[in-house]
Amino acid sequence: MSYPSLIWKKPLRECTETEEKIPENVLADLMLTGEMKDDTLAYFRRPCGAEEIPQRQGLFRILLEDEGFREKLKDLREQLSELQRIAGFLERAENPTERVMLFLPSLGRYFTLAKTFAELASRDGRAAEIGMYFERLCAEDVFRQAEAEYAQLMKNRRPELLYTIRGNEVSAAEGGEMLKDKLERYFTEMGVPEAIPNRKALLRTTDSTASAYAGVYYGFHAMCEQFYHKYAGAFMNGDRDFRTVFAYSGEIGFLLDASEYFIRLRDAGYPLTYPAVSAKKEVVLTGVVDASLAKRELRGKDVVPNDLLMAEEYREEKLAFYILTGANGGGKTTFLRACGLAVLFFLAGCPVTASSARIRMFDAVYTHFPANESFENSGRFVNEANRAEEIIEKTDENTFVLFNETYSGTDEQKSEHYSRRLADTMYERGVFGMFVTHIHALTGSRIPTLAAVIDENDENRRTYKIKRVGATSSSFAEDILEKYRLDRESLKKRLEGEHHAGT
Amino acid sequence: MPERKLSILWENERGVVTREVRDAGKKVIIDLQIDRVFRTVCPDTVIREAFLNVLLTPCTEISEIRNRTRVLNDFRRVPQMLDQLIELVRRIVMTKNTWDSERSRLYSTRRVNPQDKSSVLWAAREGLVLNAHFIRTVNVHVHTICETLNMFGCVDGWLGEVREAAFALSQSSQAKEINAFAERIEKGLPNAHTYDVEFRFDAEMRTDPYFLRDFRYINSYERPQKKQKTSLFSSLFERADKEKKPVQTEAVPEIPEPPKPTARVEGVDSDWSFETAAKAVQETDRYLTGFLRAVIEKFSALETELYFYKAALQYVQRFDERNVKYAYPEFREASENRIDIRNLSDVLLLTESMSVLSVVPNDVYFRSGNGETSGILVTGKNNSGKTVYLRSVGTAVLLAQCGLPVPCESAVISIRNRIFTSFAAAEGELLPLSSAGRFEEEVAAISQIIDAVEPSSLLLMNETFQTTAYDEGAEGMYHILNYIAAIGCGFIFVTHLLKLKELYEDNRSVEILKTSDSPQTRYKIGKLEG
Repeated sequence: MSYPSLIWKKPLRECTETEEKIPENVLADLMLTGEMKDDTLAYFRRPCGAEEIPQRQGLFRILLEDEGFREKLKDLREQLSELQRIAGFLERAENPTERVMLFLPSLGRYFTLAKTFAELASRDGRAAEIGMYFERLCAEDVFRQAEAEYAQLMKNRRPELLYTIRGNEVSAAEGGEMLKDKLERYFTEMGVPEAIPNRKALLRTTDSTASAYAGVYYGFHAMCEQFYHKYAGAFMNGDRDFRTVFAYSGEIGFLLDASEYFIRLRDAGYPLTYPAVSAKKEVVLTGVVDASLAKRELRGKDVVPNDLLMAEEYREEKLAFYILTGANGGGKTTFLRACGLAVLFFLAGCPVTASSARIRMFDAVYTHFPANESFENSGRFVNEANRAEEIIEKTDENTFVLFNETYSGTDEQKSEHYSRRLADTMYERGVFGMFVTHIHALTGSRIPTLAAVIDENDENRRTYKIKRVGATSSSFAEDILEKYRLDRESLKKRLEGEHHAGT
Repeated sequence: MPERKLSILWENERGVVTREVRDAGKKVIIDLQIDRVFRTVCPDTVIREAFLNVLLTPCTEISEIRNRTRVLNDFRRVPQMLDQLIELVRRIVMTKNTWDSERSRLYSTRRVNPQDKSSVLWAAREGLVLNAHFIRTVNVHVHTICETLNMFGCVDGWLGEVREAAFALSQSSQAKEINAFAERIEKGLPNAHTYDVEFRFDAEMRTDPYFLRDFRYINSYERPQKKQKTSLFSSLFERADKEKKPVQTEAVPEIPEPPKPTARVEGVDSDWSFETAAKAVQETDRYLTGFLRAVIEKFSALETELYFYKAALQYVQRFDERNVKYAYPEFREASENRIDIRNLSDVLLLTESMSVLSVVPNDVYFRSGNGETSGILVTGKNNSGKTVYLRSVGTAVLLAQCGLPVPCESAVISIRNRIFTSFAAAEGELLPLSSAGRFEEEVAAISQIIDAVEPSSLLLMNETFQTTAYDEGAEGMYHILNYIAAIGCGFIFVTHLLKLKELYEDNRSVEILKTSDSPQTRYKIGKLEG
């Protein structure tokens, strides 16, 4: 009976090798980097299976609702790190004496941890399953016996030691009453508790100290030795090896960190929903908003929600891949990111920022956003094309891809040629995804088009609404330029102004 | 509940006094000329400054005032006790200074080579010996403080607490034990050859720092002390003791304890031994340093507090010398908003005038809230005693709330949360370079007060708003006074703004007083007739 994983179907010990299928740049493009710890983000790169999604969603539901559960997990994480620390010392023990002495506290911590895990049995879903596993574990004979013996040993343990140092002759004896304790007690009794200095950090025991302790308390040490030989086999080997549980700390870290992120979103007024796993090949999002806008201090109510329907076939039309076009600053990239995040969160078993959602399983998610790194060996276009090519090679109908202004780093003709080829390939393969582009020539083909809507009656005001249309023909750059006083009129005026100043 | 910090001034530790409160307090002291009073009463600048500092924040707890009064009365009973305590506390402060300089001398002159572990141990030992020496020195002073308070019978109240603290830190069994340990260190540690070092393992086999428990040393030769000549009495007593002594009972043979298991610590060399012993000595040193510092801080904080009582005692003694009657006011809760003082005289006049008989006392009755008086307007001719009246009330309330007596027949005062003064400034006394006019500056000053004023405060104003057209000033003042009354704060306003009288004609909430015009009753203040 091996330890079960909290978030995967596989047993715990096999979970560390799960492949990171989603490339790292996806998280950066969707502006998720920095929102959570790097270790947590790594879990978003490992999409889970269709069975695991409802399990994880169940966990997140409790985590987001119940602070007590969060506290419990935090406690577990704390205990795990303590156990890991002491087990590290045990691993590195220099001699048998030390190993025997360190085995005892390691196992003690493990017992406490197992019992804390067992308390999860009263919860629902996956948490309860884990809890019941540990309940059974704690009820096993070997566990109960070891625990009782451990308690007895700890009761007999005497921690004080006294060295008598004379030149290089050092002898050790039982400690008896400590002068330090006595002074601390006296200071308090005399009304000057502030005289007690801060405690200094504890020191690692050395080889000679451990041996001296074993020499002085030889009876106790003999019992510890016996305990070690009796239980090391049971608890440091095979399925019940207590060191396997360290893997829980990563999983718990993911759950806590991600749930904190979603609580932040919820508190900022963003809608959260747990998408259904769709058996059909479709992605249906209603009222989806871009979670990364929370970074910019935008409240949920100020963000314009949009809908998305993607399906292998819908009313005799193939709606898997879209071209997305529209005015600058009209919300294209934001929409792209909203959809990308929704799919990514769904694949990690997390809630998504939408009012309702139904999403199919994907093997991987890829994104291609304009890069701003410096290109040492090749030009911008070559770099972009290479990256796009890599993605194109990997895609099939089980991938979700987002292209953002790909091939914009060249002249219009070349750009149009490449863009058309890309869109066609994606459409043909039945890949799910979107392609944001300014090449208006692409629109109006068989590939469905979405556009960011502007209100022409109201000075081209951006509505941030995305609608399916034939095509829109202007990018409305003029009004943005005007805003920044870079349009013609403004520039002219500026020039005149400078001229006057010059003369 | 946390234990009260040792103090003979404050019930609870006073937090940081903000600059705003400090400045307002200073202004009140200067306006009421209390600093001038104490320049005469208490010539020592340091003591006076300490005293005036306490006046910046008057007590707002009745029990605190009572406790102060009690301490003051103890000192009045035996003034030499106060001088003796000041002397002892000063000695502790001086010991601290010597300790600090000795330590820095030690650290700067000693040569420690980190490679040579024995030199590290020697250095650590020197530090511990030095601290042990000062523990014993301070112990003597603390012991004397305890004895002094004992001698004068201060067993309860705040002085009793000081006595108890001094007892605990110098004569309790714990203190004696620590002192004996210090003595042993001072005498033997420089010659130590064997060190007992204790430490403890936690559950995870980590150790806390080594701690020096004991040591053995080479007993250097000590000259035998001369046997003191015994007096006849003592020899007689001794003889009597000897005669009384019962026949010694036979000692019960002790059962020897079974030997404790010991083990040789293997794999250590002399460097390790020196280093371990040095660490243990340093750790013990850290504890004793903490103890010494705590004891010194506890008592040296009393220095300025004792200065307050020194100045207060001189104030009371001044009255005694000049046969001035004075009384400790009876305090009421702030909510009562009441001041009732019979035959109150002005402290400044009492301390400075040639004859105290020439000082004319006046009554003050004032009860704000509950539809009664919310304030007093004082009017009258120039040089008829208006300002003196105002000052005498302010001084009386402030000093009373600091635990001092007031020159009057009897007084009932309810606690004032804060006291504010606004005295008309002479030309140039306000901001000399400011471009604002005098009136504007006055308004600015008043607005600061209005911002800070709180219920149950007392506001004393002297000829405010007379730097503009009188009618306008009166009008403006009227609304301000109404506001002050509305928030439940009392005021006394000395003014020439006669229009205020008209404005208050139908409003009985303000009592209008007038100084006497008759030469027979000069400086007497009474109700405005008609």
